[in-house]
Amino acid sequence: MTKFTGGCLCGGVRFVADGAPRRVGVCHCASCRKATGGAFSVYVDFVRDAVVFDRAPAVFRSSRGVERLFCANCGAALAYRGDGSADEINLHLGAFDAPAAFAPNAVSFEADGLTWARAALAALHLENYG
Amino acid sequence: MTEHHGGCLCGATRFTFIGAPKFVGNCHCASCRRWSGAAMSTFVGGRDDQVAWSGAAPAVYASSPGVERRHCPTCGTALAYRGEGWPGETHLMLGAFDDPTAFEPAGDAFSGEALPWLAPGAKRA
Ligand SMILES: [Zn+2]
Ligand SMILES: [Zn+2]
Ligand SMILES: [Zn+2]
Ligand SMILES: [Zn+2]
Repeated sequence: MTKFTGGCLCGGVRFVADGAPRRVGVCHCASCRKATGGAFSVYVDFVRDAVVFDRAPAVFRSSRGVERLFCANCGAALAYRGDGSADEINLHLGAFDAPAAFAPNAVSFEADGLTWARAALAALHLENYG
Repeated sequence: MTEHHGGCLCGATRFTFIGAPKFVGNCHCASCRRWSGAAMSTFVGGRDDQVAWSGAAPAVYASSPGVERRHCPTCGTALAYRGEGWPGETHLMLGAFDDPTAFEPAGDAFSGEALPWLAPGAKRA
C-alpha cells in the first residue's frame, strides 16, 4: 500500500496518509485563501481514518462543523475537516514531503478565484466539484 | 496614500499596508510551501514602515537563521515573512489581504523548486 508522509515546517507535527487520494482539489474560496495566505489552496483528500498524526495539531473552527488543523509553533496549515464530508480529511498539498506526487484534478468555488490564479490553472482543465 | 487592509482567518491579527508595494511575486520555495500549505506563496512586499500591525500580535517562527515568519496563533494563517536577505522589508501573504484582487504577481522566485504543474515560463511571465 502506498504511504504519503508530510508535516509542518518546524517538524513538530508529522502525518502519514495511507492509500491513494480520493481527489486533489483546488479551492478558490475566500476562507481557504485566508487559511493559507496563498492565492488559492490545494487539498489532497483521503479517507479520514487513513491519515494518522504523530501529535495532535492545533484546531481552529472557522465555521460550524469546520475544523482547520495547523501547527501552533510554526503556523503551517495542515488540513481541513468538515462535517459535510465526515469520513474525509483534506490535507494541504504544501504539507507533503513530496508535493510533486500530486497534481490537481478538480476545482471548487472557481467563481471566487483570483483572475490570474484561475488563468495559471486553466491548462489543467479541472473538473468542478462541491 | 493608498491603504490596503488584511488579517488572518479568525480576525484576531490585522495589518494595514500603506502605499504601493515594492514587488508582488510568487515564491515557489519548499519552505514557503510547508509554511503556508499552499502550492506556492504569493507575497506583497514593502518596507517595514509600510506595514502597521493591530489586534493580537502575530506569533513569530524563525524558520532559519535571520528569517522570521509570522502567523496568527489562534487560527494559523500565514501572514508575513521577514528575512536578512531583504533588510528592512516585510513580505505579506497575498491571501491574507481583505481584497486580494488589488494585487497581481509580476514575477516568480525559486522557480527551480516549483511544482511541475505550476512551473513558470510557458504560461505566464
Ligand atoms: Zn510546526
Ligand atoms: Zn475553500
Ligand atoms: Zn487568526
Ligand atoms: Zn519562499
